[in-house]
Amino acid sequence: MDETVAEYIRRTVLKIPRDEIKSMLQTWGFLSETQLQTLNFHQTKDNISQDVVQLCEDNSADIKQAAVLDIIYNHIYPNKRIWSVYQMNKTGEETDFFDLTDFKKKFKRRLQSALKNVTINFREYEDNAIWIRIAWGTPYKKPNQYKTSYVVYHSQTPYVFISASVLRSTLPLLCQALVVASNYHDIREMELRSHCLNSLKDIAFKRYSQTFQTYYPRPLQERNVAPENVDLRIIQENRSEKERIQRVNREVFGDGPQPKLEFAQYKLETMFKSNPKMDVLDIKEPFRCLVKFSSPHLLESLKSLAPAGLADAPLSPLLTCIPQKARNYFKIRERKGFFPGSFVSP
Amino acid sequence: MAVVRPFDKLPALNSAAVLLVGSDESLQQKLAEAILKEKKNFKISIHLATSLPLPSERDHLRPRIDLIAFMIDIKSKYSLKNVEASLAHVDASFFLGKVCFLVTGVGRVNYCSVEMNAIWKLGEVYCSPVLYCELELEGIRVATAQRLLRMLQICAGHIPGVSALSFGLLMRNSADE
Amino acid sequence: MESEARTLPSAGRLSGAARLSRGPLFGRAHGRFGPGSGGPLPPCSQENADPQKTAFLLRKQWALYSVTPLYKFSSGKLREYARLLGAFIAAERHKGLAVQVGVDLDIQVTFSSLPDLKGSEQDHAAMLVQLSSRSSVSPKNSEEKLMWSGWFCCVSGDDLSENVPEDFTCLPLFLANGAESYVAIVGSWFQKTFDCRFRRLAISPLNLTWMAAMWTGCKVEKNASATELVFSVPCLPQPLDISYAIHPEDAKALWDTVQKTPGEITQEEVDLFMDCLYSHFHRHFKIHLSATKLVKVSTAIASAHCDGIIKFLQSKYLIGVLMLLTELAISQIQ
Repeated sequence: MDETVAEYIRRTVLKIPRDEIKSMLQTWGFLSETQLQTLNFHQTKDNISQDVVQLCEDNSADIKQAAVLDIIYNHIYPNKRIWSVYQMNKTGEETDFFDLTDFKKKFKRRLQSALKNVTINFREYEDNAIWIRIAWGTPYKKPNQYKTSYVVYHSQTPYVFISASVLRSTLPLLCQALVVASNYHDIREMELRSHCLNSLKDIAFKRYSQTFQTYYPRPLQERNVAPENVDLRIIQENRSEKERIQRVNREVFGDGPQPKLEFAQYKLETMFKSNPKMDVLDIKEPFRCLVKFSSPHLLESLKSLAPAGLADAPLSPLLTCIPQKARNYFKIRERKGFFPGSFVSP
Repeated sequence: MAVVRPFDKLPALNSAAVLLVGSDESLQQKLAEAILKEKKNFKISIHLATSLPLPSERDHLRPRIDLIAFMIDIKSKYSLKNVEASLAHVDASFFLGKVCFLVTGVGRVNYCSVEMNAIWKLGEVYCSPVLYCELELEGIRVATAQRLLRMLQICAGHIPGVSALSFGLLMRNSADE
Repeated sequence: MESEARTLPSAGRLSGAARLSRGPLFGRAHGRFGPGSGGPLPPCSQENADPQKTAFLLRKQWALYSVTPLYKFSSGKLREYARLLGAFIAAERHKGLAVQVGVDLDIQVTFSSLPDLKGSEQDHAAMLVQLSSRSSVSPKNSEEKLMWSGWFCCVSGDDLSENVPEDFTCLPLFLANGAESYVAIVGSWFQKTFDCRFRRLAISPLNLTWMAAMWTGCKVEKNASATELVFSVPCLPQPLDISYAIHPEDAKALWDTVQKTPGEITQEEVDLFMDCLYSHFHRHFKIHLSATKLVKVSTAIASAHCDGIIKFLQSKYLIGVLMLLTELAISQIQ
């Protein structure tokens, strides 16, 4: 067995939490049940990984098989990577029939003809997702197994989720191969990124709880404005304002849990308008700034801003449009014309 | 309607009402609970508002307000701006001893987001005492609640021989020393 | 809002007497920072300081501490101090305390003077302490590796220097780069030897706003990095951080319209600058940044974090930044 394959398997095993190593190896299916029984999972991870490598040696594993283990790991821990959503477009009324074998063949051919050295693995999952792992090389260099790209493609949709390799130059070729293999015309990045692949799917497929109806059954309303203080000697003067904030917030964000995004970014090139009270000259040129929001759960924290008194209700559409527009990277310019207070995001 | 006035309603017998104005609602709630825990021989009502003016639809329900405490958190410049904006909705006669500024977060100098001078000046301009405290510490919260209660009793006229104005002057003089 | 020109940022009345920061010196320091440098003090040492000699201080993260005056410290005895501290560290390691170093490593201590880092005549020369490691197995051919450095300085600390009794040396600001365990061990030697006390020096959001304004106003070359303000939003079920980076030219243009008092900076100007930025932000996002906590400021001049971490980025402004930090250190020990 190739030394680089052995090292790759060893490192992959080291990434897996100890109590999950066994089940992942079972999913992998490369080692027999008898072989797995010889493994001692109570020793250090380092020793486990050595033993696994030894067994793989016996079975003379190659890089293709090692790569499958990496796919299994990434499928269980997609949050370790950052994912970006792409949308593909068709020009005319082409047939919608999708042939997996044909897709694989075309995809491979495209990359192999350009690079010669490239490791490509496919793995289908039950939710109709095809996981593709690509390790990139050049005509003169072996593929680098540690700088892989991952693609998750749902063939019945035009959306592709790509976790790009750090080798940025490979991205255009990857996109090209996807378009060709899936019979689309072009592909564009949607400017929607997150570690949470499932939330990206929820947003792209519009699966997240959309409770944007204006009518709410009564019990719901009562539940949300439960009396905060039982003592009648404490009187909330702003009770109705608080109720309004709750209502507006619910209209904007809905009732359900929010999809999980970790950041949003706005490049602003808008006019600086000072408050008349501030006595500052208006600056004629656009004021250039870059605003980044980051949170372990961005939309939930944005949702809690207005009720906490840290923001107006409703919150700015620039922030609340994230799930509907399916993007979290924006470039904002001043809208020309009649609405001085509004902005556009081209 | 928009302005809170001290004398537009008759006082209710053996009762007093305090209005706490501040943007940090959880701190407000804690202070209100601390005030309620204190022993007192009169009926109290504690009104909480994030800002002024108070909503007019509740005017008819509200008793006469005897004391307004504006809460400023030195960690939040917004809390100061909020108080500054709210002050415009208070009738001038309130400033004859029926207003105080409650500054919390004192002692957390490293978190300070507002200039202390600005707060001190607020007290000067509005002729009202500034109380420094740390409402997040229970002991100080209790002491602050007791202090507010005492002021409330004076402002409501429950203490014979002391008027809100004279007491306010007394407080300010001692603070200047 | 009254716009009375005041140079004191916060000569406040905190529980009676305690002040957040001292006034007049702060004001003077700003004169130096301000555009045109036409302040009460002529622009001086910052130009004289040899950029070569202080280059190693740039682009590193320094943790800030305040230090009370050193008793019976003598700058003529640096060699002896190095030997004593070296022995102390060896003894501590022998006890198995504090420092985690491989057994075969020898720690070399050097003390040196940095005479360039001064603001006024009264300032004591800054002093650098460095710990480097050398393998004791083959001390000849192994290279020395710098493990930790710390330096004491005082830039325009006249207020303190003039008011301490004889036998005391004022070096109120201490900056350290490297493992914290060395700060503990070096600090305890200094405490023992010179009867001084170390304390972490945090930077309040209010002081960060001063830095944001002052550093934005400094002239820097083209393609300078943005003025970036990082806010942390308190008390949410999920933490939220907001980074607000403004193009350096636009930030400076705004500051120049706000800054009106020649040669000095007032609290009102700093407040107005920040309020303008807050209101621009609010117009877009409807969020009140003034209700959040400013935790970090980065500009082309330097970057500062509220936990008391600083990074100097321009040797030209090193003295100016140190003057401000000396100011903060003094206010903490007084």
